[in-house]
Amino acid sequence: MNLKNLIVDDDEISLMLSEMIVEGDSFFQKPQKFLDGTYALEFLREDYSQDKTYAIILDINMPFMNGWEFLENIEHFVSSDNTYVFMLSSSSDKADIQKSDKFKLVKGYFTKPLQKEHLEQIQELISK
Amino acid sequence: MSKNLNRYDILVVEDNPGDYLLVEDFLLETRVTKNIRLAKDFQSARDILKDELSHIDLIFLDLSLPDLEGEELISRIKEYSKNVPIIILTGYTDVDFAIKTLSLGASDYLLKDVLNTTVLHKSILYNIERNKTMVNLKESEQRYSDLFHFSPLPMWVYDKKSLKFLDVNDAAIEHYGYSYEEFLAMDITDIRPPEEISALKDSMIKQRQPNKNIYHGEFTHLKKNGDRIRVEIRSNSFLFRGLQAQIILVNDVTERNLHIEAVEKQNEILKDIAWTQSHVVRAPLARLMGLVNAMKNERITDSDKEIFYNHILKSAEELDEIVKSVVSKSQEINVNSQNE
Repeated sequence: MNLKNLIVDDDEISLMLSEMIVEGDSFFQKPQKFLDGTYALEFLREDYSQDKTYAIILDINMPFMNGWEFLENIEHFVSSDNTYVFMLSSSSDKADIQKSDKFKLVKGYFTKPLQKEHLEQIQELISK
Repeated sequence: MSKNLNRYDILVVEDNPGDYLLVEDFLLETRVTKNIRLAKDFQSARDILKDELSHIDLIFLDLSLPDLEGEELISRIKEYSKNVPIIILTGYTDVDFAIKTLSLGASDYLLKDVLNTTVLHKSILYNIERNKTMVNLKESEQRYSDLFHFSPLPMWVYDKKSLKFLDVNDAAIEHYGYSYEEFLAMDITDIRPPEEISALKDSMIKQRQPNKNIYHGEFTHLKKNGDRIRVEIRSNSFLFRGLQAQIILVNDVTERNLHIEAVEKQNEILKDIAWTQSHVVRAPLARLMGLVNAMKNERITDSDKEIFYNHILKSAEELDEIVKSVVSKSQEINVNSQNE
């Protein structure tokens, strides 16, 4: 499986910690890090291919393009068959969880910090 | 000649000894007297009436006394007689004036020339009994009037046609700042702000069912000093001095509304604090947990450790700032509630 891993988070420390966790898991490749949705969108536009599988860990609150706007932008050109988005937020807000349910691309909702158990869930979903 | 067991204390005010003797004779024959007292002029009549110990059920009054007579005599006697009925004793020549005394407060008049026991007897019983009824009625009216005037809530009565105030109670006078006379010179539109007048007039057109305690809702009224107050109004229709009138009961809810507003404002701030708790506080906390987990589980070089410690310290300081802002926001609530 050609698995690509993206982490989008405007909090640098949080981003670094997520990266460390992902790197420590042999299932995943070295992740691509983005401090804002716009950069991640740019990357995905160029890189996206039906042959690859994408696991995207996405923060909600970001200054330029937040998680929701990012989702709305990629919906048009990515398929939910090979694209797995997991929301990562500092707090579990009911309204946010309900909103994320509306996106077919979103496969999970995690509360920070990212943990090994979260990665196990991601792996399980992708391996199915 | 009577089965009436009541006997009465009578005061006869008469300066003519012949007339007095005549009256006294007839009175004794009626057998309804207990005590007959004589006053030969106004002064002594007044002294008897003023004396707390003397009890008088009925006064016979001659209209010309050496020290006072006529209209003035009646009005002066009335000052001291309280509710005791007064029967005027008069001669033929003064009949016209005697009739007039009835409107001045006398209960009855008798012609000395046709006086006899039967007439006296009937007159005494009739006037005392009628007087009792009148006094009861007056007291009852007074009670209801007091219920209105001394009600702790502002009340008034207005004419449904002219909208003029017909009566206002003490609480209304105190609350709105207008005197009784000022109120009676105004109509109900004078205590309403200009923007509510048209709605008020519309509601007047709708025919109201009589004798129903109607709740009209909340309105804005103006005090004499220009203050606006929010009031809850209840009203009822009735006939007042022959006019179709409306009685209004006012409950000032200005204070209550301010309290509700303050509580709502406090709730907003509390909601804000709750949101901050869950979102903003959780961000550095999640970072701290992640950093500590990483240091525990991952291989970290000594030089990287220094960076981690700095991150931990920075996140802890951020958390500290947020906690302080939560505290200052909660204090804002106290300040607000004190201001109200």
